[in-house]
Amino acid sequence: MSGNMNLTLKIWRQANAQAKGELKEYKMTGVSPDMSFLEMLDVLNEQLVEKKEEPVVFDHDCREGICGACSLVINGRPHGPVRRVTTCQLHMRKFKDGDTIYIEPYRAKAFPVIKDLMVDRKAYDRIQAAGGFISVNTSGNPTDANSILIKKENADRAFAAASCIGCGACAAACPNASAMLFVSAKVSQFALLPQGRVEATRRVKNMVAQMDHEGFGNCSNTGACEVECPKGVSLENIARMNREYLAASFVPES
Amino acid sequence: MSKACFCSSSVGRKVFMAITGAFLVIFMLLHMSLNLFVIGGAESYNAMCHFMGLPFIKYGLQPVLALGFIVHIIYGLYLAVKNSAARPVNYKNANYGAASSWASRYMWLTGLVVLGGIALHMVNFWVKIQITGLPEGVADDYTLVVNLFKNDLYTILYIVWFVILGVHLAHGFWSMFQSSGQAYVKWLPCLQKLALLYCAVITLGFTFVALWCRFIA
Ligand code: HEM
Ligand code: SF4
Ligand code: FES
Repeated sequence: MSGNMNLTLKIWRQANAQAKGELKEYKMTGVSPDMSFLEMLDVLNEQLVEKKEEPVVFDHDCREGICGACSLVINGRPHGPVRRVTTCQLHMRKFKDGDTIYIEPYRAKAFPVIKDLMVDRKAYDRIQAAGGFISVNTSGNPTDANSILIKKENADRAFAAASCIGCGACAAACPNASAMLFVSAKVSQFALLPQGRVEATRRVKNMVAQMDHEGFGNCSNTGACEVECPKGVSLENIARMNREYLAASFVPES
Repeated sequence: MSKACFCSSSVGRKVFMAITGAFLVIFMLLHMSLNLFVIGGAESYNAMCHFMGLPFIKYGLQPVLALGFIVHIIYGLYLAVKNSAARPVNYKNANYGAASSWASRYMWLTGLVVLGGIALHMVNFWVKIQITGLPEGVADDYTLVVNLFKNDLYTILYIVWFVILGVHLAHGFWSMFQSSGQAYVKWLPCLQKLALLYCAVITLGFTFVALWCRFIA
């Protein structure tokens, strides 16, 4: 079919967490530009299964850019070359016939490889569990929430921070493997709302402590996370978390 | 219920970097202004050196400055080492340049070059002016400084140093506001302009003095 592409894929293959992995080359012919990136990998996997080879393991779930399960570092960029797009929403039309595409797993000490392109991102879950919640039962009480007036600006900013899908691209993109964009988004989405203020002090302290404990690097404000984040979470959240943390460290909890 | 203390947390360490960085930023502006005294000729420059050698500055303020440098350098290098340990296996086909500036990724390197420049400058001037006394045949502080820059190699070395310092500050200036949580969105456009202005004043100011000594003094 016209418009179809021939591609060379260089994919990281690693049998398990302990194994020493390597990049392996695969030739793909007749790739439709209308496929999504993950569909292209599905086709590759079908071909591998037919040849009785191990299919490539990669994470995915919703395939519509909302769950945060997909990952991959494509040509050195988490979620590929297009801004504000998850890997599952990336299409092959963004590539050219004859391209060589490198596909690697997220790289961070805190995100160990499980197999091939799949990494363990439970570190983010543990950070979330350390404070990314409010302790009151809100189910069945929407009227209470609706009766508290919130500045439109703050509501918008909290919403923008809450759009983080926890995918991990920020730490994968960061030259220091820092998780600050994720953690600051989770801190901010609560810090900006009255319901979240109640536990704000211990939330930021506990989440930062957990982040450090997991072995993520230290933010040096390179801004790579914001560029690669598929949801466009802003660096302003990191500044907010830093001042929340500063205040929390020196002002006792009321 | 906090598990870690401020000083050993990642955010706390960055606040120390920001505070010492801000202190050095102010110091560099002061130092650059003092250098401009050379344009006033020997008398004005020597008077400035005499003032800077007064006991309250030499024994009172210089140790504070040294402490600021030491904390900044030790924390900076420590964080750089920790950061490389946070990614033990790097990408085979890394493309960091697509999302961040060179200056922001190589602060440790530009920092080390700045440190080398500081060492050279201490040996060239500070030791002679404030510790050992001027070498024989050098009439005064002014002559010491002007003579050094009559040597083209030194002039070039110093100018390279000032440019690298400018690169360190091109990222460092906004970074210190972000690290300390003061980079409010509504201030960002203003901060960017201020950063540019500051780097230009520092790099061009120091370079101007070096060239003035080389060609005019
Ligand atoms: C006159 C000298 C210097 C000035 C004015 C200066 C200024 C700054 C500023 C304002 C920052 C930003 C702080 C932040 O991100 O919060 C910074 C960061 C940094 N500086 Fe310096 N600095 C100087 C010398 C040095 C030296 C000698 C080193 C030695 C290695 C150094 C290493 C670093 C490093 C590694 C960072 C990045 C830290 C990080 O973001 O994690 N600096 N500097
Ligand atoms: S901040 Fe962005 S990149 Fe980081 S986890 Fe959330 S959505 Fe992913
Ligand atoms: S698979 Fe759910 S966001 Fe990509």
